[in-house]
Amino acid sequence: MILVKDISKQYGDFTALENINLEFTNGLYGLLAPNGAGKTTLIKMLATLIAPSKGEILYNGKNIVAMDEDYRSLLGYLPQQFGFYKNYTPKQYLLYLAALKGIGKKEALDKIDDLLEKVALREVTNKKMKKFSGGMIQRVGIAQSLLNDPKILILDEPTAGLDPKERARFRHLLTELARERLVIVSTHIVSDVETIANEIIMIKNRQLLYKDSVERICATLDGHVYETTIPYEQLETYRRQFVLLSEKQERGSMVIRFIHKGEAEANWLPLAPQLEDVFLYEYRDDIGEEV
Amino acid sequence: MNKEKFQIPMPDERTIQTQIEQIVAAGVTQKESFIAYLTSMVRQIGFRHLFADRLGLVYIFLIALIVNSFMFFLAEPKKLAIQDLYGLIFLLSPLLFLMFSLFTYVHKMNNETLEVEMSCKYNVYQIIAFKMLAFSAVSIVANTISIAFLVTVYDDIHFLRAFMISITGLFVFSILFLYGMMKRRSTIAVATVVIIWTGGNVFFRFMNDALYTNLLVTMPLFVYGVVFIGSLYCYVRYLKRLIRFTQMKGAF
Repeated sequence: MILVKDISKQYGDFTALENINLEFTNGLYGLLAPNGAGKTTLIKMLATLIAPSKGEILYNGKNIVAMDEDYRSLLGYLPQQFGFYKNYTPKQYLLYLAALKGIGKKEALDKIDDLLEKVALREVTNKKMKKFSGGMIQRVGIAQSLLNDPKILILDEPTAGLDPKERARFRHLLTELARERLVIVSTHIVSDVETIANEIIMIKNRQLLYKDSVERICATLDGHVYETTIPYEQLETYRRQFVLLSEKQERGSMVIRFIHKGEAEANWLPLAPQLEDVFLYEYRDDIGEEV
Repeated sequence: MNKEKFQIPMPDERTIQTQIEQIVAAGVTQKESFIAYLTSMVRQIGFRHLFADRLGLVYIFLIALIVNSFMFFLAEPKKLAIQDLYGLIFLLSPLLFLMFSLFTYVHKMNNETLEVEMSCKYNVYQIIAFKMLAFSAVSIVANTISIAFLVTVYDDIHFLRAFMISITGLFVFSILFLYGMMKRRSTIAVATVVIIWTGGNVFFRFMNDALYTNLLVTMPLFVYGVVFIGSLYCYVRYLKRLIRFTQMKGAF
């Protein structure tokens, strides 16, 4: 459906992305990387907001730039910074954006009611958005991205500002949407996509690191994730020697989860790797660890 | 074993041509004309949403009206030389267009809503292109009314010459404005065009008064007509480019 062919993006001397090749079909893709890794650059190229310095992006064999408004008609997009007009109500703003998307007023009104219900904003339909919390604004953003019933839905950090309950609701909505369209969600929060994404895409050092299912990505750390209990005094040594994934105090000792790629010690308990483990391992700071 | 032979009758030339046309019509998307595109855009978006910033535009209209009146009527009425009057008409002809367009451009480009609006079917550049066309029409009407008033105050002013100077000035400036906007895609580039326009006129007026007077007062009207038609043609071409313009080349 969407083919990203050998794209690179440079801003002057700085290379943001290098030789990225990807293929997307229907389903949900989680674009997972820390801030500054190039997620937004890739997302903006997929939304035709910026151009690749090299390579091209094709939708059903056609260059998305050449498709122009035909591509944008298929697109639903939520940017990282969702801007709005403070004195507009959600209904007014969605009506305005629906008009820009070429949706007739009558059709738009029905759609807006339905979408505001879906994002739990029905009761504030006619309230000015300047009084809204960050989470409410983000939900208006999610609603606008769905106005044209897009075949391609691209969401850049959609859960920013949402509380845990809203996140759970949002995940359900995404699962429902991804049944019949292509959904790409960019995030640095593993739990946003871990349980719902068909595939995870990870970018590292400007290049594609993984594009695979959660299971297969986790399998790259099979047999290397352990848990053990140590006295607090040894914590610093472990931090220096291993990639620590988590640490918590328990009955005066420290229970740590870590990665080690050599021989295991007798008191280490092997664990099944989680996506968060891979994320922390791949994007770990240079701590001079032995792995 | 008898093999059945399929006989496919060869269609006649007319049938072949008809079928080719049908295949081409189904496979090739017809490019809409500029006017058809704008009409369809207005029908789908509606004037209410196209001019969502109408309150700002009304204020600007009033400011431009005050500036125009001030320049022509308050500064020593009937004391301006004829070439200076024509010069002022030329210099100020794009004032309203400039103020409307600058307001729209800066407002759209610096608004946090830019990314969302750029991802819509009708993006910011297409909206700006349509509005600029509308602003040109409003400017022509407003300038013509101003000239009509001027003619009643200054006997030496010829309506047709003033009108041609005004309309030519408007479209020449509009081309420069669109060029600056599309070439550099920054507010600074647009501001540079304004400075060049004003500075260029003032410079020309004081450095080569004879030529300036000739151009404004004695140049045959048909020359203005030719320049006007040429600039109108270029203007529409630039607007068409703006409609197909994406910031894929790396705007903001």
